[in-house]
Amino acid sequence: MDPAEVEFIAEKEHVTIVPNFALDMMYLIGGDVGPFNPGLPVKVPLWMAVNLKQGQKCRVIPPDWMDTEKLQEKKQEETDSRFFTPMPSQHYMEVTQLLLKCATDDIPHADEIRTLVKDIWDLRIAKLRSSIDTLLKSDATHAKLNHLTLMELNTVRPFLTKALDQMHVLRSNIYGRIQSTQE
Amino acid sequence: MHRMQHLTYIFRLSDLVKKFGVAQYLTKYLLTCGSDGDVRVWDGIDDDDAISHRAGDKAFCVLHKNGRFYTATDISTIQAHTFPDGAPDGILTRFTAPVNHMCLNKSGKRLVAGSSDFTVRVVDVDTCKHETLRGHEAPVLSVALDPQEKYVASSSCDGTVRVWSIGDQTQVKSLTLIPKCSDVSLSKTWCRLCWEKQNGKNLYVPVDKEIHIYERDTWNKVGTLKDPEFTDVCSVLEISPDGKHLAAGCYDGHILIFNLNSKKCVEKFKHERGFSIMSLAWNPKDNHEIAFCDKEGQLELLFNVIFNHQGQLGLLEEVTLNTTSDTMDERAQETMGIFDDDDDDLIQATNEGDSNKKVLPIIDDDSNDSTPSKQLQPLDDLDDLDSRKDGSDDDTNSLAEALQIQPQPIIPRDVFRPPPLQPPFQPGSSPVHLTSRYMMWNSVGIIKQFNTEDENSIDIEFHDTSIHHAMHITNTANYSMADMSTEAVVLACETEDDSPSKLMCMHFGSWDTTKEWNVSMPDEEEIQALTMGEDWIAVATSCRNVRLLTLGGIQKEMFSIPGPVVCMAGHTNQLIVVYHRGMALPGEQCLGVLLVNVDGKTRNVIGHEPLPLSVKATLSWIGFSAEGTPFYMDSKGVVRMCNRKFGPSWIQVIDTKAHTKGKSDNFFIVGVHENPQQLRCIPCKGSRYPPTLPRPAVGILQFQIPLCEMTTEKSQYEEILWRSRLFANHFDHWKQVGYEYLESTKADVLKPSQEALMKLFALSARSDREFRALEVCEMMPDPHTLQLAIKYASRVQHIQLAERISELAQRKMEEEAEEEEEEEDLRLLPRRSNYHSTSKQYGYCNGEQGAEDEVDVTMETEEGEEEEEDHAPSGPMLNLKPKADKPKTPSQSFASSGRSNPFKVQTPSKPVSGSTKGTQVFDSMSKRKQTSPGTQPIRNTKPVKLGGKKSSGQGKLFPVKSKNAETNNEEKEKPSTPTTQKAASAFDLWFEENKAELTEEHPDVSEEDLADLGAEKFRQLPKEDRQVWLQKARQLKSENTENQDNNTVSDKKRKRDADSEEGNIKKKKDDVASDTKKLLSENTNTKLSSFAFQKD
Repeated sequence: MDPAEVEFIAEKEHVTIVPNFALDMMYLIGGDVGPFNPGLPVKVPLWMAVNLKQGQKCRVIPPDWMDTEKLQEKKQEETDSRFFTPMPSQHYMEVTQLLLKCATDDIPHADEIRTLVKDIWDLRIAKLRSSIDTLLKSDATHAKLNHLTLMELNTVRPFLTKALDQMHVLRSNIYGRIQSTQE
Repeated sequence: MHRMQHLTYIFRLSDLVKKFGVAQYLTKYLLTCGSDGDVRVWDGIDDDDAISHRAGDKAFCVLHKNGRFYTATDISTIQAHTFPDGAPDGILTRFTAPVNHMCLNKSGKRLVAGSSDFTVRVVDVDTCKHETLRGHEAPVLSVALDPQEKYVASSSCDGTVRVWSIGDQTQVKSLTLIPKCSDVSLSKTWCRLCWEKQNGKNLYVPVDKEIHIYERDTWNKVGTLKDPEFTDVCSVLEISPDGKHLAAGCYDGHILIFNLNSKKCVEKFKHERGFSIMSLAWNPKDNHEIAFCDKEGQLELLFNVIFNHQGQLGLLEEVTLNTTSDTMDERAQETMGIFDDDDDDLIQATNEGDSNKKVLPIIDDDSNDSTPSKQLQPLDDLDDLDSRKDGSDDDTNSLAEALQIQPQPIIPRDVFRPPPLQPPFQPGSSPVHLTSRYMMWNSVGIIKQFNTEDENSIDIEFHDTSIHHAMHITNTANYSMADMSTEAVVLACETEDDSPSKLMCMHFGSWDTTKEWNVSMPDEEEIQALTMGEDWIAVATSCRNVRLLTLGGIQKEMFSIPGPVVCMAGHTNQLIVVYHRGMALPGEQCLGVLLVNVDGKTRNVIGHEPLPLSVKATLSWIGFSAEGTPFYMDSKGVVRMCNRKFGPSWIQVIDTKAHTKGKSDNFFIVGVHENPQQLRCIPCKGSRYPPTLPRPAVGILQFQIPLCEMTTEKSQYEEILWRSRLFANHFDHWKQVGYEYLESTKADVLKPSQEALMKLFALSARSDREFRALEVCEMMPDPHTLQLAIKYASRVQHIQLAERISELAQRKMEEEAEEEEEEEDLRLLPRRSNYHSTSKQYGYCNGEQGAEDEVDVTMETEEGEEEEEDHAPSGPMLNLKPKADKPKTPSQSFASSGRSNPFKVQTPSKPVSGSTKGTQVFDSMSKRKQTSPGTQPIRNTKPVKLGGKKSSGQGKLFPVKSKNAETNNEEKEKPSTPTTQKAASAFDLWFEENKAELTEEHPDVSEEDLADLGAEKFRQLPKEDRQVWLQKARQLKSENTENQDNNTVSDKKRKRDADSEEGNIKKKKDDVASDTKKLLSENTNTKLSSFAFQKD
């Protein structure tokens, strides 16, 4: 799966915007959106928020968790815990990326938020790597990791699965050779 | 006896004019100093014009001895001055921090001072040599020198009282007694210490609410002086000149005098205003006088302190003198009026004949015996107290001076003061004093004002950028009020310097090129409130004028309001003005409200009614909903709306405070909508107004009418019922003012109320509250729901209820019918009936019950239809044309707006499904299967039959007419196809005749258009000509009917073809519909109508 695909999925997340135009309810495949009243917050899918923002048709209200204090807490929790902690959003990374890219002016302390989210991401990826490492080094056949987000999974999945395949091949080769030498 | 009289008199006097000197008997000076930095020399207590000597920026302590006085000031020095002149006479010593207290020995040669730099110094006055006593760990509060000059006692903020030996500068004893604090200003007590007068055998220390007595040398506590009157910390002590009494001043303003022998309190005095006592001083020659200073910088005197040694209450008199004319109140904490009544040495000076020549003449100026005559002097003055109040007293000189000096006018306590009036404000703005504020936040946009040192500007932005782009203007004229609509922005400023109050309008919606105009108010007329409506601007001024202007700047009507304006709001052509209508109860506001139409019509007016506010609340917002109903919020967070149907009255629709998280949180309203029901507001944490940054987000609150017992199901349904009815009231208002709206919208809005009614009915019926259920039924607006209710009641075995409901239903129908008849008779009713929709509902409702009932329905439909057309010919109908045309929706083929029908539920769009839905409501609640009408108990059929009976007389006609109506419908749906298969109408006949001609004239026109053209032409024909064709058509018709008497139903359609043809044309060309309608004769109408209501 491509990161772009994950991002596409993430764009279905709902965010609140304040439109500066009036429009009736829109009936979309993904669900009804609107009605849009100028000055009145409304929940729309992220893709629409980004699109409207690019057209300067709205102001984005950052999600609750996109707040330096809350992220700081989250980061601390993540640091303190050995395991993965549940994230405020299943697509926290993508949402942050997209919003910070197009709606920096609407998000207070955008830079700090960017850093914090990146920190959390790094922490989690490091945890993920180390747990994969333990998995590989042990003889376990499976491992269970909770609270991983799609994007995080996706960063390791292509490589991990291939690598495991490869290792399997190598191992079976060794095993086969041993068997053959024994014969 | 004489003395007693005199004293009571003085007491009264001092009560009234505190600062006016009465006592003439004082023979000595009083010295005071304070945080104003002056040392004042008072020539007795009646000295209104004390001599001031500048000591520094702040003076902390003053002492007098031997013709010199010493001051401790904020420059951390002890400065000597010559006595009466106040000329500097050298610096005694310097500290590193200000001195808090000092004292002198009897000879005046040794001075002890305690400083904020934690040290105590013993200074030799002549040589200026000093010894330092170190050990305190916080600023020293006060010091006391042992009369034997062996010890020095000191108290400090570190909580200790220490005793030092002067000889070897060592600490003899340390007692931790008082609360610790970090600075003198934070200490509640001065902890002034006192030695026993003669030989210092005891040390008195004020500790909390008592005075401890410590024995010399052993420093053991040998006793306490206490009294229940000590309600607060005792702060200052002073021993009387004869050494027999100790005066103690408290933080809460008490002064208590103890007899040191009996250790009992012999005298009590409470400061009138409860200010804490900062210093005390006895008259050195008179054991019956104590001067003291309070926290507010007033010097007061207790005199004739007569103590009864048996501990009984003596007489206590008091005269006050305000010392610190320039002492500021806020600095009062630091004010430390040290009060030196020239101390013991003055006694010596007089009694012992001290050689001090400077002091002597001053001192023996008066005899210290207060002679009655002298004391009575002021009495003469004040015999007429009233005249004194007017300032017209004899003693003008002294009084005038006194009044000038007096900085703190004494507030008469008992005078009634009216509650302060709420100042005018703009709804939707934040306070003017903020550097960045909202001038307006409404449903159109936001106007922000920045008023900082380097920026003075106004930002205007629109929620909907398609109205106008954002604007930024520099605020040179200092505009402070604003309002905006989708057409214009208006700004107003108050009078400034010589420029008058001004109104500026930026009419960006104008189609010409000059978008701005200004208007200045007349001199001395201030704009206080501002609002705008559809095409007008209103300003309310300080002269109680409300001025109306057009958007283009033309001055229009002006009217006066009966009180100072509070605020205004506008919407379309409605203007609401809130003003003070009179004096309110304490803490309340007495507001009046005026709702007018700016076009001057008197409809829908609230004329000068009181505006109800919550207890002790002020108005915080007023405005209109998007639909045009007035709403307002008071400072208690309660939002009320105008209920035009009931009064008009004001009804609480939400308590916003119930939605806040914190007690000090508030909501700032930016808009109200009735459909959907939304209160758009900004939650403000810990304030009433939203901050400009970060930009707040608008939230939505749901309305809730505060009915009782909101947790019960019943109340919830009732609330829904009344809320949705209340919020649908605006439709009726619209109808009154002639706005167009879709009946279906109104029906949608009212739907929850219908459902609530039905649920309420079911609830009452299930809980066997039949009477209540019947009451619910009475509120049901349309017979359809009544039918459902009957069914439901019978199903749940409430037969009696069912019967009663059916009676009710019948009564209602009759009433309606009567109304209808009345209208028929009246003919000239200004509005059209919407009987059709009602009757249609009848139809649908009955339709369920079988074919027979359908008959009934259609009859009524027919009636309705006819009636519509009936109305047309009557004269004044032309005026009403626009209204008739108004709600032309496909679902309402019979023009259906108009006369309000109390029983009507206008759900014409899909009533059949609606009816099933209604049943479902009951079904879902009762979980019972619907029984078919056939299986109903026999008794039940009676009410049902009522409908049938009514229709029976006309039964045969209905199928015919119903079909007819349908055809009519069909025809309307496809209006372009001319009716070839029918008997021709007048138009048809004419058209047939003239078709050829028309085709010739317009060869390129299609068949359909030709028909249109024809219709046009036909209408343009002179009336006579048309009449001819009409006659022809009628003839034809009558022939037809004769022929088809026993024909099939479909044939009968033609009977009214002429009419339907009219309808056809009408559909084609609505604008001329009324003309054609005239074709029906009145005669026919009466026939038809009388026919329609034959019930039996």
